[in-house]
Amino acid sequence: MRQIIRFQSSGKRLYGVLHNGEQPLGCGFVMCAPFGEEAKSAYRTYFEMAEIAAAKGWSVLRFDYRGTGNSEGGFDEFSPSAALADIRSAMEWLRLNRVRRVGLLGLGLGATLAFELAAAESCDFMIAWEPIVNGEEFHKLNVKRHLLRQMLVRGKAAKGSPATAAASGDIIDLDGYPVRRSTAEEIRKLDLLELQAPTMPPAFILQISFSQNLAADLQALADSCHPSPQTASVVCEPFWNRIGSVNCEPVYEATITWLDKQLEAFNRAESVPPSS
Amino acid sequence: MAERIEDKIKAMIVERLFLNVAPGDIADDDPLMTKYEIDSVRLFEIVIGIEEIFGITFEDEEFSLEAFETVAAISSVVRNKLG
Repeated sequence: MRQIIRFQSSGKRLYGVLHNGEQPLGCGFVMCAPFGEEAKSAYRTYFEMAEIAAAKGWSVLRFDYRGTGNSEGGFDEFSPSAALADIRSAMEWLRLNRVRRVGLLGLGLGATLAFELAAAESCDFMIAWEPIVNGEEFHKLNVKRHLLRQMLVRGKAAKGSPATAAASGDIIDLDGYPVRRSTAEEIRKLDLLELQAPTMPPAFILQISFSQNLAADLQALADSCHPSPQTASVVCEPFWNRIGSVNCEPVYEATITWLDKQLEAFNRAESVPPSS
Repeated sequence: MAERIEDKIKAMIVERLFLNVAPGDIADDDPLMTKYEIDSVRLFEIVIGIEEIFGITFEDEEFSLEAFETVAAISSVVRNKLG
């Protein structure tokens, strides 16, 4: 069952879709979208993941950050800190709607935000698909992507990054999206390895790539956390970078397998009588 | 015998773009964009792959269509950068 919902976050009315199964488990998660084009390309995968999890009883909330999709605000209002506030509001909405155990699932920048939030605040579990470990590296890749698009249109890329080329204004072009300079700077400063040995809830880092070998930055991220999140790698096309449809079965399977184990752990914890 | 730069590039393209062809089926002078439907996002993956495999970095002004038209053209750029 799907239900369109609206909730408030710092004065903005946000749009979301709640996916619920026939027999809700009382456990659920908020899906944190990635940035810009990646969010568009990942839309179908997010929908399918939500449907699969809901069919197993999880309550899943997909939503649009302020300034994106159907939520209130202009795109220039988007920033990592505003998105974190929106994720908190989405989690709160789930808790107020009888979901006892609330976790997070994110991809890319959405996974990075989920990671930051899970490391700092109350969150029952966290799933990170291909988290961006270092914001500066992410920024450099976005600049490269911009140059390649420019090359395909004009035959040759212009010298200078889009960020520096637009140095005179407050709004800059980031991967084709107009963002505030402060937002771009905030993204560049994200660094999950700087979280200083965060204490994490049960967590799962999933690499989605052409290779089974876990990337060094994801391994370093897992090693930096306490307890160390479970890691896995699935061979699958980067659906967040594709225009056409991609078979994401390996992603769904790995995620559901981890969620099933997590549910067992929750059930075991709830069946243990409190010590006197 | 050391693997040719061209062969490394072909293997990387097939692996990263999930192409249903053998690396050896790609000719050095095949037009990559048209024959393998390479758009900007796939080209992005090729660039990242080249940088990772050969340990090089493309400068802004090196992004030109001619440089990425064929495996032979990419190999030439890589050779120049490797010295």
